[in-house]
Amino acid sequence: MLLAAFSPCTAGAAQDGGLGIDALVGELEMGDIQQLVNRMDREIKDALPESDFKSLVRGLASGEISLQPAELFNQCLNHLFREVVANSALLGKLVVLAVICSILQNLTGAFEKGTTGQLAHMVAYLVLVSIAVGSFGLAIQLGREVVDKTVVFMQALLPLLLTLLVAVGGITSAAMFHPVIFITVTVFGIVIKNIVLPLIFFAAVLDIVSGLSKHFQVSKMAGLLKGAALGLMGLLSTIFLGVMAIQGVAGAVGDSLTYRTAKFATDTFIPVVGGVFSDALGAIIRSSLLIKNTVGIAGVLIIALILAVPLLKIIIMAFIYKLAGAVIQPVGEEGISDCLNGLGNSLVTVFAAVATVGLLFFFVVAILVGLGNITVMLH
Amino acid sequence: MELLRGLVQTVVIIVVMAVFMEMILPGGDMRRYVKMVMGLLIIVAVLQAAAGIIDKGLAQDIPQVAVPEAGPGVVPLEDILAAGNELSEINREQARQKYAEGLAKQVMSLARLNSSLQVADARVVLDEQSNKISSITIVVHAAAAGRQDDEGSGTAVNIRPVTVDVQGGGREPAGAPGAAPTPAERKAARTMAEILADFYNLPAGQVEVVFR
Repeated sequence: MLLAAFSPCTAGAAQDGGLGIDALVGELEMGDIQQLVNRMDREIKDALPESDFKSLVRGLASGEISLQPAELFNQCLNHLFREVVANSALLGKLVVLAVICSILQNLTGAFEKGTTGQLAHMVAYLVLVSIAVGSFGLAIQLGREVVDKTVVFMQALLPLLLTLLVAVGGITSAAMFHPVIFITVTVFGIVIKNIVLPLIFFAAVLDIVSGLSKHFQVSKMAGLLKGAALGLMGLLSTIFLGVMAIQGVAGAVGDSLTYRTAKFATDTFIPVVGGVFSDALGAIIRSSLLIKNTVGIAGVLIIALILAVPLLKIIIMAFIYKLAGAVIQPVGEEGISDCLNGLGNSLVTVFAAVATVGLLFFFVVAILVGLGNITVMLH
Repeated sequence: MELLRGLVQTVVIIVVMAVFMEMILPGGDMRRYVKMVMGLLIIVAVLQAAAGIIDKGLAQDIPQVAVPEAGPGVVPLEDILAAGNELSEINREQARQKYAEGLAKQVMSLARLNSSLQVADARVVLDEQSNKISSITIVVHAAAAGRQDDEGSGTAVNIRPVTVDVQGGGREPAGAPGAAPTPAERKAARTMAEILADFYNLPAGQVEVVFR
């Protein structure tokens, strides 16, 4: 929706002041981003309106490429159903094992010793849990990979955006942002990948283990680990956004002050035509700003596409677990149902963690794009 | 995270062992004791992990968080500033070009207000450092030349340019065949140059009128 709201503005702006856009785009170094785009999965490349990043920026700036939210939504929906079908085997396995478990539970009384049935039930439960943990581990791995990919893409996109910020006069902002933005993006990615996601995984494992016996529970420890993961994520997000916002405003004001002093000197000491040069420069800077905004939009689009497929996979997996839990509950096996439901909840947490990475990186791009706009607006 | 991983592994093993022992042992008070012993084992495992964290230090356990300011993925600020300034210079050059073109049109419009002269072209040269106007050149058709053109002789006319300097010393080339401006034109050109110099707040020498 946000992308759709952006696109008419860029097209309109291009018609108003498209001063040397092709030449400026040609001057930009986008080799690193292009390499990353080339390395992306085929389905992501297919979803992009243009696989050449420069052409994508040019097309978006000139309004030749317009993003169709309806088409994107349809693609997401198609993928969603494909994932549901792909995960139906997992659902089948889980349900069948849970039914076996339930039958064994009911047959416990038929054995001479109750423990025989209990043992068989535990073995079936462990098989079910090993299947569940296997696919949960895959989801965690998927989350870690996508966080890694997003961080690498951001590391390629940020220098380009900062270069364009310098070109529109945001030298102070770029200098203030430079070390902080790279460090925060990298640290945020590392913390999510190496601390938050493993914590969620450990919490899920302890949750499963708690389901083995009603008399020996470690669910509080699982809750503690999950709480720590969520708390850490919330704390980091707050610090991250706070630092970005404060630095952004301070930098923009500093840059506009420098520009206004120079403009005042030109306008005052060269009567009549003094303003003409600064007006001409302003028009050119606005076309650079347009390119910067378009690079930002193209970047956000690619980040969204990098995240979309894995996020869909994770959320579908969570749905499958929750569905299995819901289907099994009437059969009478409360422990297994709770375990599957718990795994579904943990997967939703994984989804939230990965989506938070995407959201915060989107905010970084938005702040950098907005910063350029504020800098030029304050001119 | 290795410590935490170890702790979780230990807890899982203890819980599985507890469940097995629960099944193996006969029912009665023994089960309660086993549960307590297993619980104590978990407490020991947690304390061991806590002691390990205190001993090593949390920062050592998560070394990747300490990201260096310059490293893989971090582009030096100097490179970004250099690339940005390069783009900025391209922008400035484009703006200078647009500014010069705009000024030339403005000068030509002002010059054409004087109906006694046929203004053909105007050129503005800017100072590269300060972007101030360094010279204005107005090209005017001399009346004689204009008449020759009007008559349409069909042959190329060898006309040499005539320059009128507002400072008084008109740089009129000697022996310009058929293109010499009339005294009235010279006077009008001088007046126009003075007006333009005053308008743009320039020294008189920076505005030049050339007859063709």
